[in-house]
Amino acid sequence: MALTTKAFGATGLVVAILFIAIAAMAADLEVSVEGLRSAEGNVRVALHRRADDAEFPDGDGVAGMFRPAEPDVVRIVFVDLPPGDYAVAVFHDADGDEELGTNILGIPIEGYGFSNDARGFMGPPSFDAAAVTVGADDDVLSIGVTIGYPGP
Amino acid sequence: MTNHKLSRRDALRVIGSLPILLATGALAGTREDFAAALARQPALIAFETARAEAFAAPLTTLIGRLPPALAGVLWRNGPAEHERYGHRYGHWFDGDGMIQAFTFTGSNVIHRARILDTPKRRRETQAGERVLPAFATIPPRPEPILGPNDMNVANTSILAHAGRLMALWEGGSALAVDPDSLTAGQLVAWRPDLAGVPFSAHPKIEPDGTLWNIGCVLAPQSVLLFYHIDRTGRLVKVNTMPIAPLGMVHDFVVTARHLVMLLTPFVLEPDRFLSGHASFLDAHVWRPALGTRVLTVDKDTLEPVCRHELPPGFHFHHGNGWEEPDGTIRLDVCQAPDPAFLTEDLRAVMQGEWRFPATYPSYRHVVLKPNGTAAIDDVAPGIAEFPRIDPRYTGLRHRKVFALSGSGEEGGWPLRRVACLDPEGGTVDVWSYPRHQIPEEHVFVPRGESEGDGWLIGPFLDVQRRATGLNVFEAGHLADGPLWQGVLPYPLPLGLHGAFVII
Repeated sequence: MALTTKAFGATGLVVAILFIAIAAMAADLEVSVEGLRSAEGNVRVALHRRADDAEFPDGDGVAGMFRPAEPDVVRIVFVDLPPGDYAVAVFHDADGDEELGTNILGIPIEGYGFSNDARGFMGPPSFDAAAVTVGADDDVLSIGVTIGYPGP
Repeated sequence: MTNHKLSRRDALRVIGSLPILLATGALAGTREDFAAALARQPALIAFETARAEAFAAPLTTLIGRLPPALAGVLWRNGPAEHERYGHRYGHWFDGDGMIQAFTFTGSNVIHRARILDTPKRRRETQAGERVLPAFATIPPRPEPILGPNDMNVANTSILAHAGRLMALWEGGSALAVDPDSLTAGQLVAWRPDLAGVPFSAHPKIEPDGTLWNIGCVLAPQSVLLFYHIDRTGRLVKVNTMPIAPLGMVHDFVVTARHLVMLLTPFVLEPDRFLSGHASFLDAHVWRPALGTRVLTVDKDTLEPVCRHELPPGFHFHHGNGWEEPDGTIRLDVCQAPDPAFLTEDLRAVMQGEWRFPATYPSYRHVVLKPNGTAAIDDVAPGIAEFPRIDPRYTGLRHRKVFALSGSGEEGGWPLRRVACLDPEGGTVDVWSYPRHQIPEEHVFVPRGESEGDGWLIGPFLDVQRRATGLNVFEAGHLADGPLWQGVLPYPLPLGLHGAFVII
């Protein structure tokens, strides 16, 4: 399964500003990550945009960050995004190794999820299935991503 | 059933080797069709859904006396919850598994059974409906699956090894089962990076306790896995081998130095399965031009060491395999000319069609020469399935195989008899069940020193009595009929495989 995700090294204590855009044409995207089974390790959130959808959900996307896992909801805000289509890929890095853990076949063994709660069939969803549109007039677009855990 | 259904089945026969493109939704069974057919054909009770989630009762003796020395548990598994939330599965192999224990105390036999509450089933409980794809049925509102265990119904066989009990299914991980409560535990990861990886339903345990198994992954990539587990249950080695095209690899044999598997030309087209529109079974296509590829794997390295070719055929089960001093490998297989019994009959029966026109497997013997030549021949005429051997001869030259058999000419359910076969000499002993009894897999339980010295134990469904029974045979004298027979106060759906654990 092509859902290996490289660690995104740079993390910040503050909400990351991912790329600079003309303020008047920018909006924020608030991602609420739900369904975490434990507060162990980190939550890794990667933001992809249409231009790089060929590698979705692999690669670092246009922005990404790790935040400590919390039992209820972890909220992350991407600020000042230019209008366009985006997709969010999240995984619960429970063992804290900054990688999406996979089994011998490359199938994820840590929890993961996507915007729109999109799911592929035994694989990642397409960018289109996970795409959300950030409009020019949006102030803040809020979305939820529910983590799903493969067994066992 | 209707003429429409018959004509579709006939049409499928005509297209023969073409991809079998079944409209799964249209073929999914309905409770009403089945209930109406059951009222006309009482034998369909064999494919009724389990009447409860758990059972417990002593067996009432009908014939003979239990051998006092026979003590242990016959564990069994099989698809049992064919219907849930008003939805009936369309294939015998779809249903959620049920673990059964027939405990021989020396003076009586106590039965217990429980539906396995797998992660798959718990997710459907949460949804309040069937939402996960099964082996041959896609529910009306399917949810996506993250990996093979989302479909794992743990319904095929049972493994007792190194003090652990596990329910097995071909496409997913082993499921731990508590032997006292019969409740489902965790899915087994033999190593952290083997979480979520298939562990097939017919592992082989050598006389010294060493366990060998295969795993079969067909999508998105197609990979075979080979497992070596020691007598204490510790994983010694695992290896993966990408191979395409590939279909279900249900069973294999172990010899002194090798694991040997026959790859049937019934192969999965990954894109069709991954589309979510074709069930796992329907995404398989019959491609006889591929022939039967034979893969021999070295037990030390778990690497393939040679390949042979045999004519096309379809099979699930082997009896045993062994190796001659010159490296010649011999093995037995229950092989049919094509998979029609699986793709057609075992689906139609779930809709209430009590006729089995497909060609069923016969017992065949395979010889693989070190020079690369291979041959396959019939051992005995007629049908044979559910082969079992004296477990002390696993990987060694064996002369006794116990199997269910049939002439194929009796009509109705094709497995009507219990037989002892000699792979080098044909049928040696046979007992025919009465017409109103349907036998299930019979398991050999060793007693004395020599091969085949022991008992043969197997359940049957008594259609007249509407109850499941259990027979104990003297394994060397099947033709004498059961030396003990007991019966339960309830019927159970026909199951698949079992294992006897001597206490």
